Amino acid sequence: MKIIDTLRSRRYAVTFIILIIASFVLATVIPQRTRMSEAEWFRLRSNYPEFIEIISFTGLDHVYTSWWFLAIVVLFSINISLNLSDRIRASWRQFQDIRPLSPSEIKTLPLNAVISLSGDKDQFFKEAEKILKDFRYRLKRHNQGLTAQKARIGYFWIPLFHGSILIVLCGVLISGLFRFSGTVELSEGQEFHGREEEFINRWYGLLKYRPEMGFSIRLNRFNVEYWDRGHPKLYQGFIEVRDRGGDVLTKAVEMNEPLKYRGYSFYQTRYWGYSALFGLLRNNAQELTGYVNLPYKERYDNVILKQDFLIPETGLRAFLDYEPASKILRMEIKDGLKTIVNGILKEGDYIKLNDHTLRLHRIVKWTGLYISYDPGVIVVYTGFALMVLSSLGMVFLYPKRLWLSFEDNTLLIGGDAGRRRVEFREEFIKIVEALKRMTL
Amino acid sequence: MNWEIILYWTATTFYGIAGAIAISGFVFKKERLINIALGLSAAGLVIHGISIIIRWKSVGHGPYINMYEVMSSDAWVAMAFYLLLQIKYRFLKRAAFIVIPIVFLSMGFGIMSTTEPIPLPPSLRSYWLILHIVFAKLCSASFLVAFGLAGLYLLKLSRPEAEFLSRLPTPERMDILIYRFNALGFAFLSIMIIAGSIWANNAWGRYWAFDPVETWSLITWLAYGMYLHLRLNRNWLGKRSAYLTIAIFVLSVLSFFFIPYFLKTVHSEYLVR
Repeated sequence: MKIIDTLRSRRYAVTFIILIIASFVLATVIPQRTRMSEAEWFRLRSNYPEFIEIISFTGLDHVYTSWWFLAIVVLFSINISLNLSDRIRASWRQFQDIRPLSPSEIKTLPLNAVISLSGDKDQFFKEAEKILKDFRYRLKRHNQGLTAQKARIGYFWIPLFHGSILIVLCGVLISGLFRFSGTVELSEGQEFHGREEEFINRWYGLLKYRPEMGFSIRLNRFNVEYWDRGHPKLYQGFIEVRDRGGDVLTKAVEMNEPLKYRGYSFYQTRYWGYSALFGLLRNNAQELTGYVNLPYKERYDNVILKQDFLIPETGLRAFLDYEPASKILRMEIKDGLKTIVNGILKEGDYIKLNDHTLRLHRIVKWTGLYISYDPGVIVVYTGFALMVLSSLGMVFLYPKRLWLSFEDNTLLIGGDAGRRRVEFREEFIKIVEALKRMTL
Repeated sequence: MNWEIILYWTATTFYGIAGAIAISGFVFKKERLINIALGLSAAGLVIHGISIIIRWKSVGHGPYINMYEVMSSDAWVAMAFYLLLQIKYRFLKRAAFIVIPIVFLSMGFGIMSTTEPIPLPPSLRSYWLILHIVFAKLCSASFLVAFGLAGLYLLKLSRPEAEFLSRLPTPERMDILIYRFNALGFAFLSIMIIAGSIWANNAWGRYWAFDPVETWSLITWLAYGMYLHLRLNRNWLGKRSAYLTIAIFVLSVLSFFFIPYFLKTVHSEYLVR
């Protein structure tokens, strides 16, 4: 129980925040393995072996996945959760109609005032009700006097805000467990079925889970546009979704305009290149087709793209030189060290290779697509929405309470706004002034 | 003739003169000098606004791509926010000697980077990005006002007999205003981080990547969260609240404007140029 009480302590909330801040600072100042290439890491390890040994041993080279950082986040989450249940109960109690207070209780409130009164009490109450309604209070008359409340929903902003942090953390946890992402390079006309071997890179969550795609996508066309000075303006892939045999959806995927379908999201990346579509025919067998992607460059004016590949079933190696500006493809085919073909190849041309015929169908564009499956996103977004709502609510709409009661020929007024009572003082004084004017 | 730059320099000159006059007004305790400084700042704001509009029209996008545009628009929003606020809270004009020089320095900082127009890259074409930027500016402006108030608050406490500071509200009221602007800035900062996160998810398929600027924004958010906690739960009012406000404001400036220079980040791809 003592541990629970310790974890619940709000003092520890501040301690956890300080620890998390310190961890973030360390993670941005100390080189993180995940943010460096193998070569950079190797260089660092060679130059500063002791330093690398220390940060590797302490987990400072991977702060965000180190056991101690995760432990701080878990303890912080427990602290918020334990406080949240207390806060919800307290907020609910405060939200329900307020209990009338006796004159002696009103006098003990942090904000209170006394007004001398003469005349009819009922008439006074009617006038007071009008004033309080002008200040937008909800009123309730009872034997001892009057109670008034305003912005009652405000009792829930703080628990809602803390709840939203927990929801975001839950979403992050779901992402960490179930998230899958990968990249593919897709050429115009090429189809993608989501098979493991079709990805260039794949990253799994801790549970190594990925649901079957159950549909395929096809890049029909890729469009790239530039501003006058050569800066990229638009990357646009026209993608068709094929689900159970029929075409169900086509969409122009751009940066900031991903395709979302059955839990998967397809993002346009900002790299693209050229690819050559070849067909290989052996006697009367069915043609084998395949794309050969040429390397990516920042700019394609005044470059020659080189690529080599093994021609299936033949044991021959082909070497391509492609010049995008003139659209000339030069191809050399070697059998071991001996060149057997060397020349320019146009779309539709074919080359006889013993039992096979190699045909260049066309030169098209390929583009990168980033694919992700992340059930945590919707949870995180829900947390975001509640966080925005509650943080604005906390600023603009906090609850206030007033008690009015008679004692002999005086009116007692008490006010409370919880932790915001310092701010509430201004409004309280205005109300008291208005009531005093009424009694004059 | 490049009218955009000419007007930018004109506005910077106005702010510079206004800042010097505001400081003189503070040092020599002359209210009239502060009024002149505010008038010059308002004139500078109009000229500065025209410079931004010319830029917007010529490059075809809002002022948020490189450091020159970011600093220029931040300075404009901060100045407009301050001038409007001091109409509502008249005592705020006494913070002119803090706010105007900061705006002037921001303009100088902005012009040190390239003014070459950079076309909008595909990754930045998003409404979420606009929301991200608008709220970044609003939260910076709120924190700046809270910072200015905290400075005035501490001055008032240290020199309670000073006539120049006598027209400031009571320390208690100033303390509330510092808290309110910090809380408002915190709400805006939350929206800024969230909009940025949603934009990143739409553009690159991940809502958080621990990019250094992302991380430092979160550090700032946690620091303001800690401030609110300490104020509401541990009763950190008055002096402690003011000192904490100043410290966290310095942290926010470090996070938003200096981290992109020192650490490799996706934000520096545009900002540092």
